[in-house]
Amino acid sequence: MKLSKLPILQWKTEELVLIGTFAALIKLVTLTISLMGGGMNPITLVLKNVIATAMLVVLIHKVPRTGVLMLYVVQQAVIMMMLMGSGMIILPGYLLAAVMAETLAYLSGGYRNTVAILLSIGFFDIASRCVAVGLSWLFLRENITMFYTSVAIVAASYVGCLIGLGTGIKFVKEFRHAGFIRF
Amino acid sequence: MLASSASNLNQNRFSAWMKQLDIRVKVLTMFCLSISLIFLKNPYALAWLGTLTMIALLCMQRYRTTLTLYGFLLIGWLLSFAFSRLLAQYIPAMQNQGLIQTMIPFLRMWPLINLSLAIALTLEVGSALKSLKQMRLPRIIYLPLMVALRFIPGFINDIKQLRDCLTIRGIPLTPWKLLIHPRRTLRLLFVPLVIRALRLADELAIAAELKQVGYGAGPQTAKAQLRWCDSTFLAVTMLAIVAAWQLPGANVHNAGDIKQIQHQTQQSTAEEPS
Repeated sequence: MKLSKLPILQWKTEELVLIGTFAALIKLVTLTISLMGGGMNPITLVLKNVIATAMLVVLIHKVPRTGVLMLYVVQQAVIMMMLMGSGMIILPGYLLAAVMAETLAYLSGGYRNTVAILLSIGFFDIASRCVAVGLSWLFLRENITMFYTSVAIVAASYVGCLIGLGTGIKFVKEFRHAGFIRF
Repeated sequence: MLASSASNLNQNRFSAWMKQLDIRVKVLTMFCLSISLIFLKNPYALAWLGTLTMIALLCMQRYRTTLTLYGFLLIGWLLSFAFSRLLAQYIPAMQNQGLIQTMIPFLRMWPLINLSLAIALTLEVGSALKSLKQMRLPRIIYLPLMVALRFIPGFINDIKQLRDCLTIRGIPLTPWKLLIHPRRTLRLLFVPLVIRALRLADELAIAAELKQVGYGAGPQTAKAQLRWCDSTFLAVTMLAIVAAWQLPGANVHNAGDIKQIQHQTQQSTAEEPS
């Protein structure tokens, strides 16, 4: 997809369809892997985050526009809200993380630059995980052991995200070679 | 036999009634419930909400799914309790983690899991899309969401086709094989999935452009009307939440409070002899 120079609130149908498709794909794939691993499985926990981050890298390479991360977060939250009703609680925190990540990408050269994309996604992942830890404290505040466990789980999931950044770049190279990504 | 057919009829009636509910009412209920659960500390109130939602879930007669989920919850709670006891031997601050403290997070998750399962089992893509149309959402939110909901059946079909394809090539698609060969899983399962998704997105984008979805006047909106079933469901759940807040119960402190209380008692015992 060519770099779009439309204003931030004007999006092409093609871009919006891609964001919707990837939001659903990432949610479904991560949900399937979690169910397959039976919950607290460290291997599936890491694998799930590797795939989610890799797909996010592909999405941003496919739609390299400011605001794509924010739209993705809103879509994920609405899908979560329709399935579990919990999306609205995490939405403000995740949106803030997305705005900060987009700003970081803008300051480091915009989405034309692969390093900026990686920095942005890496930052978004760590910021969103901080929000998740805060939320888990709200739910598990009576049981500090479970809270520490959730912190360990979040840390392990971030390791998966870091691996996912590298995997995402490999995916992008393959898709660029196959002609699916033109930028 | 007559009794079983009557129970099936009841099950169908309840599931059908749940399916009739507007998705916005379900989402609003879930939102109110999750906000209440964050602030509720009383174990009796949490158990009250959990029991009510469990009754609603059991009325749908999906016993196997419910039992599997409860099995996971029980294992999680037992593991948490065992780890608390283990850590208490090394960390003195953990010694105050009693049975109630380990149980409360699970009690807090229990109503959420029950209701989310009931909602997920009765979610229909068609009615969800219809409700989305009535929400007067902007194009940049409505269009991707519509695509995301339409994508789910296609994704399930894609997974089936990929599984058949891998089986023909002699590669079994079992969870164990997928886990022990993560690199192969990525190459043979996820790369084709992403390629299929990209192709599907292109096709959907062309179809949407041709049908001018999201352009012009935008999706036709209709004034949302609260029906009898929606208002009943909303009223009953809100009453249950209000009742939970009014229930008298045990005063359970969180981890930070326990440390503070310990510190205060230590201070007071130190001051007493002087």
